[in-house]
Amino acid sequence: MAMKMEKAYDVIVVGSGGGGLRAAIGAAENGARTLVICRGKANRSGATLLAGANISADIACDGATLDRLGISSRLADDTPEKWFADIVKEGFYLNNQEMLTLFVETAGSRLTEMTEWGLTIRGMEGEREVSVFGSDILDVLYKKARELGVTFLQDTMFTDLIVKDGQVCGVVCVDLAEGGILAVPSKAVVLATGGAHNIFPENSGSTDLCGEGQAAALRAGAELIDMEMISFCPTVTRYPLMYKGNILPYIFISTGYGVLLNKYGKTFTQRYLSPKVERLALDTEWNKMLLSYAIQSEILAGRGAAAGGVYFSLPKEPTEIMEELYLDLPPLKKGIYADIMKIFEAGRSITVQPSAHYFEGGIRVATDMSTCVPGLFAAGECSGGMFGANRVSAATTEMLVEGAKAGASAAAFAADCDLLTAGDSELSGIEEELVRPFGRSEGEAPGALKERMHELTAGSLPVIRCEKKLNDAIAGLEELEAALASAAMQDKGRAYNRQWREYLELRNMLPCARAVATSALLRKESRGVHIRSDYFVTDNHNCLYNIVLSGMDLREQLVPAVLTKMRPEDCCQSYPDYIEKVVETLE
Amino acid sequence: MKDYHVTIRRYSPTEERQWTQEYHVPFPEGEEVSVMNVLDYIYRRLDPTLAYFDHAACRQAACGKCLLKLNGEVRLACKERAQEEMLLEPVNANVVKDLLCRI
Ligand SMILES: Cc1cc2nc3c(=O)[nH]c(=O)nc-3n(C[C@H](O)[C@H](O)[C@H](O)COP(=O)(O)OP(=O)(O)OC[C@H]3O[C@@H](n4cnc5c(N)ncnc54)[C@H](O)[C@@H]3O)c2cc1C
Ligand code: FES
Repeated sequence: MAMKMEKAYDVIVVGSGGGGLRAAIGAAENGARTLVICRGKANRSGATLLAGANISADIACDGATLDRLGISSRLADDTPEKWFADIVKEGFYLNNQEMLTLFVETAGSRLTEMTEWGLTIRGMEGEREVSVFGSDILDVLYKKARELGVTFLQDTMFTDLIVKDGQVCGVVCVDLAEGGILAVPSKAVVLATGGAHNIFPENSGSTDLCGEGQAAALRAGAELIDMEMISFCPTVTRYPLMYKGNILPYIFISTGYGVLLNKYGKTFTQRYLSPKVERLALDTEWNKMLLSYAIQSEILAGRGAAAGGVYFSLPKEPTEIMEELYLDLPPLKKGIYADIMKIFEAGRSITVQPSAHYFEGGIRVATDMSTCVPGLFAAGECSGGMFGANRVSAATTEMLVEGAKAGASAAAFAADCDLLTAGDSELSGIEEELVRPFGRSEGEAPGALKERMHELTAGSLPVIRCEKKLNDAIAGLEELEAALASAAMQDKGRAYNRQWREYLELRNMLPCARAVATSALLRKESRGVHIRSDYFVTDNHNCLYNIVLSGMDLREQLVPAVLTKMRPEDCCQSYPDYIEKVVETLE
Repeated sequence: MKDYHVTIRRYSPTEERQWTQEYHVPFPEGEEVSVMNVLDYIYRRLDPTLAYFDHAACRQAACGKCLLKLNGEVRLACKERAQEEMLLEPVNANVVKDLLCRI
């Protein structure tokens, strides 16, 4: 089955979460013939669908705009500058301040248009955060994109960028149902493939988030930035197996319900977090970082649950508490949540564990969302740099802001360039690599390799890291990459072949995981969501740089952080002390 | 260990062949498992050729794409608790492979 050449587009967007859909709208509005390639169903995939667990996701915006829109007047005297300062401080000064300027200055326009396009606002979550449903965001954007004439190719898995003379000229993808390989030419490509959640066995994402955009960008000559920075959601369900990955316990904790217990049934967060930090930060976006640190520390101290993780318990007494809970969170009465609530009603607990949740790092972009490869743009969670060492504002806003920008930039680029035609020399190497396991009868199965990758990532890349384990992980991942090149499959058919799909995913997940480990090894300090037990200090004196990787051999570059507006004080302090200092400024 | 006895209506597009296949899946007594957990076990440990929706699966009853028939009733594989005796069939006649249909 040879590669099939499809008709050409001006702009191809890869991924149909909020970032991809908003990019497609931006491209189409600027006159580009636009195609969106979706791994799953166009408006029902990615992290956007799961945002806020469909109980309440937030979109953030400055308080003055919220006042003008008549949504909330709680922070009517807010300015983009104030918001900017909060995000930089809490991002531990690694945020690209030029990108963040775009964020605070255009978030208002993005939210305004979403309401004009029909997004239902369901209330307020915080002072700058409005409450919406992830599925509503997707429906509103999908409808708008369809109205603008955007074409969608669903159940199609992107694998590679086509590069000719150093410029992007299309993509290669696999039609998952039939197993055919397609080449689609285009003048520009926007990658919006979301995070690399599935490099970890414990994650809160859907199965389509495998870092495929990040790895393909790297292969095509683009750079990755801040890959060591991963936000773990502290209390994601681990057991019962049936609800693994569900973030309901996190929604409870954020709302104020429930307690975390170690294997002795004791609370433990106070061992790791000072009373001041607990009091000031546990009901902010910071709780992800702080609780992940506390829980992981308790697990490492040998006081976790036998099955892994720690216990999340919802005391049943007095019974009024349960009534309060149902009043606060009405969705608990329905669907999957009603099923989960039966566990608590029966007096049992859920085992929870910090799980990979949001990737601050990703493809390195400029403020127009271009990469260093002409014609290649990136937006949303697969890009990196906006939130530095800790995301404290909405990723939904990030995806809208970056998506709009990337779509417009890609359309402008396409308007100004001729379509390059890829030939055999660009395509045959890619095809050969994609179909390689079909030609082999002996080798490890992709599924077995994936399990080995998960052992490495769970052991070496979680919240608290150290040099020895990171080195072991890098060596192990390199070994797995070699083994993947000689993987073999029992399923020989092309149609919906899961072993083949896992092979294709691993081809991208393994280098992504290696990029995380490599960056984590290079950052010899603890900053924000990146914690090193062997370098337990935040070091503003020596480490105010971003780690940039390029090439499949991950050549490193330490680039000074973009501090155009605000600089931190020049100090080097123990991680908990530094956090306490930053927390004080939150008051 | 608890034994889940699963019968799956299968279809291979390459061979244009339909058949039913039985599997025995063990899970610890008391472990709460979904139909999707059982299918995952079959794929990982017993039969890597088995196909069911999982290429962009939310696994949290949010995307609505993992539909199948469990003992004749239409259900979401990720949300439905596994039963000791299960007949799993494609949700409609538009079958791509095994339990995966175009919906
Ligand atoms: C459980 C959960 C809850 C969250 N809650 C919140 C919240 O309340 N507020 C908030 O601000 N943020 C939240 N986040 C984060 C936020 O949802 C994401 O960062 C944001 O939605 C990312 O948008 P995106 O478009 O960049 O990526 P995604 O929405 O993840 O979309 C990625 C898209 O790319 C597609 N794709 C991936 N690989 C391929 C491929 N190879 N070929 C074709 N398509 C591909 C996927 O199918 C998907 O359509 C949450 C995240 C999770 C996981
Ligand atoms: S996998 Fe999404 S509903 Fe079951």
